[in-house]
Amino acid sequence: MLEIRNLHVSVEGKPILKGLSLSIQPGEIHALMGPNGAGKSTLAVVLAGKEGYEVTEGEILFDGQDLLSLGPEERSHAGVFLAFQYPVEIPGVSMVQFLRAALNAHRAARGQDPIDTAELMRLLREKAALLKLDPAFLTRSVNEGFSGGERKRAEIFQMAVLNPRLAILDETDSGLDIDALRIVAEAVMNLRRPDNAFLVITHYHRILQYLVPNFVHILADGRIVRTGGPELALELEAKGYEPFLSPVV
Amino acid sequence: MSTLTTASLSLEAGVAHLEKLLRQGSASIPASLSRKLTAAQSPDTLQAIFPGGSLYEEWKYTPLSILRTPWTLGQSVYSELSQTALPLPLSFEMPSLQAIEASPALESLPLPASPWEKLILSGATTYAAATLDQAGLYGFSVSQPEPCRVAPTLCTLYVPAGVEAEMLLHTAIHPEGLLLLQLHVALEAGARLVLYHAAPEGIQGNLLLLLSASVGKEASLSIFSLPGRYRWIRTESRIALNGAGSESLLYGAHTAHENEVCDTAIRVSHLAPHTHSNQLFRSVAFKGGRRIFLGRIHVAREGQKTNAYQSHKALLWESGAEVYSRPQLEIFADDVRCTHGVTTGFLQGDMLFYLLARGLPESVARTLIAEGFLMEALEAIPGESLRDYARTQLGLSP
Repeated sequence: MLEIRNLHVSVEGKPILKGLSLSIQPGEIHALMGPNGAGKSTLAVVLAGKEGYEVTEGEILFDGQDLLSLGPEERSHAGVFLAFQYPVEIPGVSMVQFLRAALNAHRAARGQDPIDTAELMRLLREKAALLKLDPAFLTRSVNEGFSGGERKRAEIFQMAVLNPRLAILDETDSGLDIDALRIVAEAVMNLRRPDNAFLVITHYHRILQYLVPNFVHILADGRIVRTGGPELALELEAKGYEPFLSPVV
Repeated sequence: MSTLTTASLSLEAGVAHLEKLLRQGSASIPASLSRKLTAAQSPDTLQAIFPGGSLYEEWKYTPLSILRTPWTLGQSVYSELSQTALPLPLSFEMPSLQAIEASPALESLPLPASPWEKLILSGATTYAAATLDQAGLYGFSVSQPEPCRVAPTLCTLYVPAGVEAEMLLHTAIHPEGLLLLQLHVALEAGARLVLYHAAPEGIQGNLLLLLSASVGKEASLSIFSLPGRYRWIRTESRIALNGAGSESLLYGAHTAHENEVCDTAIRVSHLAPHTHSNQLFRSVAFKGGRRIFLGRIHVAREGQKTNAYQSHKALLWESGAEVYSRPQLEIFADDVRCTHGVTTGFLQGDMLFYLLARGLPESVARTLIAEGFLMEALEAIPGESLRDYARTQLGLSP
């Protein structure tokens, strides 16, 4: 599904990713862990297509298609979803308006008519219930006045509505209390299918107790320095990143 | 003649001046006035037209070149309101009224049968006075359909004690025309007036709207400036909160497109204790457009326990857009709560990326952001259909 080969990315001339390679297949959950500044969030936004990140070398293929040649909205239409680490506020735009526009853009890309209002509301209410969100939240402006935890749940809610093939969760677990973490993790597991995949960026093992990954990768200094199974996350929890900072593959 | 009794509004001076102009009929503006109109940008220009009205010190950013046109005073001020076709005839083509008709919140309001006729301006009449002595929804429409003509209009509205009324002010102006509209409003104790200012679709000409209001004890004046496109518009509002416990709530969402000037000058004076005011404005300026916001909160020594708020946020859509914001506080009382905030900036890249990453095309994303930003100022409009109308009037959808 996703093939990242020897990816080099610079921001304002400063190299951040330095030869990152990663392969994700349908049905898999990958956890990406690493110390601050390792390049985890850079990878996330590069996959989503944010401007200002210069790919100096390497390639990213998504279902065999050159992802880097697509704009952010085209990547979304193709099935890439980024749950933001810091979701922004969109004042005056309700979640209903926002997701109607997003869904209709996806439908238009597939040659479908705009979604019917009744169908839209049914879908939104169903997914809100999955995240145990008060339906009143649908009429609130996107992320405005939301607590940190509400924003993260709203990200997963949007993911549930848009139903992507590849979801990148950029530290979705940070800012969540224990109950909210369980709700979010259960919602993600509920959305798991044989034809979709998740890349979970995190600092902590606790979310991986719910989202048991097929692979755990350690990212340090712009490249993956260790890949293992779920036990690697436990090892990290016990030892910290220090033993892994010298590249050992 | 009006039953207006508030002397502080300089009504007599305004009426005398306008009547003098009226006597000229369709003749040209007197040479002395014409000279002032064609003179370099000067507050005198406006003083000549509206004695005792303008905030003279607040014209720094306002281009007056449009007023150099050799205007002719024409018989061009009239209203298309009809008392026989309440709430308004379809030929009036005012979508906002259709929207209001469909609004459950306003539908339940009693539509008075008689007060409409008091507002009808006909022929060359440029003066109207009305007492809004019944609760309900009123309409007031002024048109200036001729090019190169100036239409001075003076209207006084008097809301007796305890009456709760709403009024739609509709200004339709020829793209090459100029409407000078002076509106005096007096609210007696406990009265409430909600005023909506709307324009038809399409680009309107030039409008100078000078509004002064005297708000009595525990009375409330709300004004919603609904979106509209003008070549040049300056709205001056001077609100005097004269009575204890009175309030003034001003809301506006405005755009300034290429070669358009949208100018708002406000002075809210807290002249009595326990008064409350709010100014909530949002603006978007496009390339070649100029948006000016001058908001002043004045708290007199008598205005103890004043609670005043002012916010103007402006979005520069692209390079070449201009926004001038000037918040001002003048406080002479020592026990007040006054807050103000003014921001001007470009669209946040992170905000745009967030929407793009959800699949929205850039044009749709930008429109959604701008509409949401502007509509923040109009959230208090009662009735979803009127809010929808306002959103449509923004004219941002691709």
